[in-house]
Amino acid sequence: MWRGDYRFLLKNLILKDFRIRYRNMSLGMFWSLLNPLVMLAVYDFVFTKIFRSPVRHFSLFILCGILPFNFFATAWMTGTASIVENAGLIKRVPVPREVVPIASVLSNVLHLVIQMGLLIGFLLTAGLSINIYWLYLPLLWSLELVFVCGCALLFSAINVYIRDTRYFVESATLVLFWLVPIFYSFSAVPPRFKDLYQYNPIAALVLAMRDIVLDAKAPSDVLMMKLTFVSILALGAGLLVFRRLKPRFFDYL
Amino acid sequence: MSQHLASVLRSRPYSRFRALKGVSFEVAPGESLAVIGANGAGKSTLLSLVTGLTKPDKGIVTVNGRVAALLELGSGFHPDLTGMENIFLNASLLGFTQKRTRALADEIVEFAGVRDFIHEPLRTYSQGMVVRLAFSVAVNVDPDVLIIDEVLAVGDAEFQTRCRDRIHGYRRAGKTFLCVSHNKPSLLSLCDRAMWLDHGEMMMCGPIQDVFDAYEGRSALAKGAE
Repeated sequence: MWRGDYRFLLKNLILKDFRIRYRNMSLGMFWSLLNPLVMLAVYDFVFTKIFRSPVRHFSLFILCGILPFNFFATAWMTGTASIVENAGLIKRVPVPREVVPIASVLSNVLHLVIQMGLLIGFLLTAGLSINIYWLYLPLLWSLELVFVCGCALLFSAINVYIRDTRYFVESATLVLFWLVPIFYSFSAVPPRFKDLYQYNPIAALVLAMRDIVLDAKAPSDVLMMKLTFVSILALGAGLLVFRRLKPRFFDYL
Repeated sequence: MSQHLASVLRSRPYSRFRALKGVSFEVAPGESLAVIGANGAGKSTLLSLVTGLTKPDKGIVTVNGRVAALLELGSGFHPDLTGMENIFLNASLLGFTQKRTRALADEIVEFAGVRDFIHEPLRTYSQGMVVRLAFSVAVNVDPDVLIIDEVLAVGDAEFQTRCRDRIHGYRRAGKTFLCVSHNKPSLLSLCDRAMWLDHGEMMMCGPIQDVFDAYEGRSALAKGAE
């Protein structure tokens, strides 16, 4: 039914999310930096002063974990709530519904860019430099985006029918925090869980980021394949479920 | 909770209530149709179906061409965005390209008559200004079918005249107009046909004066009976 300019629509929806989020804040974009910095300070204190972690470049090590996790957690959460929060739009304007959760996920990308800037800052102060393997990062993050979009589509659609979904997502995020190697290294994971760990796209991204940023080496092919496989699977499942559920959005919103 | 879950899983809507039953009609290009009836008669559901927001459980709806619908005061508008930002957002929702929006933005602002406030957040606007802006965006999309649900009554007299002129010009251009309202004079001036809905059933569809006579006659009868 809807014939129009998808790119222009997506752009405007992303801008809307973005403007609404920041317009009424006095610190605005600064929050994107403040949040990881505070987390970093706390972890740094706990894990180098109390637990005395032997990891080199601890701040960078942590940032490689926090960035993917934070991005996923925020995008998943906002994506899940997106359809219900934009009920006015869904009920009154015949836009293609898929665009709403996808725009909500993409509106988090600027955060990520700012936080990557922070990471580069830490990198340079630590005396490391950007290496050739950084070329992997756009691909890695794109796969991550595909995965998050899949999750957002899936859960935003379910959230229309079962509003408890967002609480499930909140709890799941909490569990995920411990299942992603944020402040422990992959080598500490028992061997029999290692294979399974790599199927978690967030964990896979963290591992790949550490390979690239800290060890200046390419992520393994197996890891890349697992990440690609799960991301595409998630997007496919998300689209499929969303298509099935969207005809009744109107009645349930 | 478990009851709700069960009803979701069986993929049944909340109730077996039918908003519309056996309603069948056609509107030709250049025609304009008013939909009248008491609250809860199914008028808004009808417009939602034509707009393509929801699909009928039974039956089919066929619309040829681009539809622009104003179903609620400032739907798709956000109070924290400025007037101009809302114009761009709404234009994109209605299917505009960026280029056309840029080209038309001036005319939209001009028609709405809110130039002095266009870079202020929408929450500072009066209701009338929001409606004027929303209407201005919708008519400037140049849709083939324009659908309006009870929002015209809000603007001031001068703006209402301008809207009427615009809709008349629009119909002369061979476009189709659908409208729900309780405001008889504005319906009489804008539409030539009317459909009367009552509890989801079509009581009558024909020349607007005849339908209004029958509708008002029946309302008077119902009052007399009480």
